[in-house]
Amino acid sequence: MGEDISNRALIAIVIFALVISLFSTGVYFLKFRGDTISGALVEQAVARINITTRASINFTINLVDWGSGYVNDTASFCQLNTEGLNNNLNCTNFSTVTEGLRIENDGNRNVELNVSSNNTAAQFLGGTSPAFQWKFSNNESDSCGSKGIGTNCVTNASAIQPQSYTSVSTTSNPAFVCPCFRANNPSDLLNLELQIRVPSDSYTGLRESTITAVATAI
Amino acid sequence: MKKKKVIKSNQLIVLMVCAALVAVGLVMLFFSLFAIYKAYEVDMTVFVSNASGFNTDTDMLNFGKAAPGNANSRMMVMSHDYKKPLLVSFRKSGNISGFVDLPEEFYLEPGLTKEVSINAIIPIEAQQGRYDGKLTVYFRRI
Repeated sequence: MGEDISNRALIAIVIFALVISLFSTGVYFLKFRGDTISGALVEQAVARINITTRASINFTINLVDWGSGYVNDTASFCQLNTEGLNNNLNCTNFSTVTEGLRIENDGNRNVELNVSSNNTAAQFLGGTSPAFQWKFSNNESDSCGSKGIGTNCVTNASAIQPQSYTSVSTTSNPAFVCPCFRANNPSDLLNLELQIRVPSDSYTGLRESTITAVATAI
Repeated sequence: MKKKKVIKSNQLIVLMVCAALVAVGLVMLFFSLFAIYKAYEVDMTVFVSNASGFNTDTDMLNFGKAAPGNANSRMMVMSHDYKKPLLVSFRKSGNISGFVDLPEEFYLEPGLTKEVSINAIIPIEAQQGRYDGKLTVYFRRI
């Protein structure tokens, strides 16, 4: 007949396992879990991570979707924008879009805003004399101003640019849209309206472009 | 004649649990003391809505508001002064995980800095609401 492992030995093994487990868990959490970001810069030991004051949004332009359509045989181009323009004499089957993109400063810091597109009109639409244009405005009054003292903004209705339709800027040369985009509600929302001119000999199929808005805290 | 020791089934279960605890503990201890040089945990959040907005606050990776189909990005800068290169890698958790696109792991030489982009890519079918989670950044010894 065999002899059982004694209860005393079993308890000793359990205690040993618990000690090892608790000790290693403690070391693990002490070493890693205590290091949470609590400010702009974390500097413990000699490894550092720093969340920058830069943020960006990529808008995919098929969201401002005019749908699928074509340029009439009798026309050389069709012009559409996000303010309801849908030239029915020249355009067939495109949807009428009455609202462009909205950009909000959700944070607590005033920022400067740059915007760029990954495509020019020729790359986006192709054909003869295409156009891909944008313009910006305050959705909530005084959202964009000039830089004041320190990080403050100063009211300036003309600070936001361009205010009339202008060809989009590309990634290599982004448009400096707003020098001081406020963070405080209810003055923290901008409009981005788009306009395209689709030539009769433009590219066909799904066309897509990405507009990137980059905000950097001031 | 010497008696042979016999382990009952309930004792066997206790021993197996103990062995598992010891194994996990030793692995954690190894990673804590030798494999991982340093790790940081950063909160992440994004609010999926019809509007788009950014947040440049630096206390967390706040992606602001993002509309389905859009992508919001935040930047992080990393560096270290350890005597040898470290392998920097990332892990995500929480219900925001499905949206967050992490950089590939990379080697970082001491004294150099590297900026990485953390992207929240919102699928068209995403439900509106707030999504949270954590990003863990590991600096591993090679």
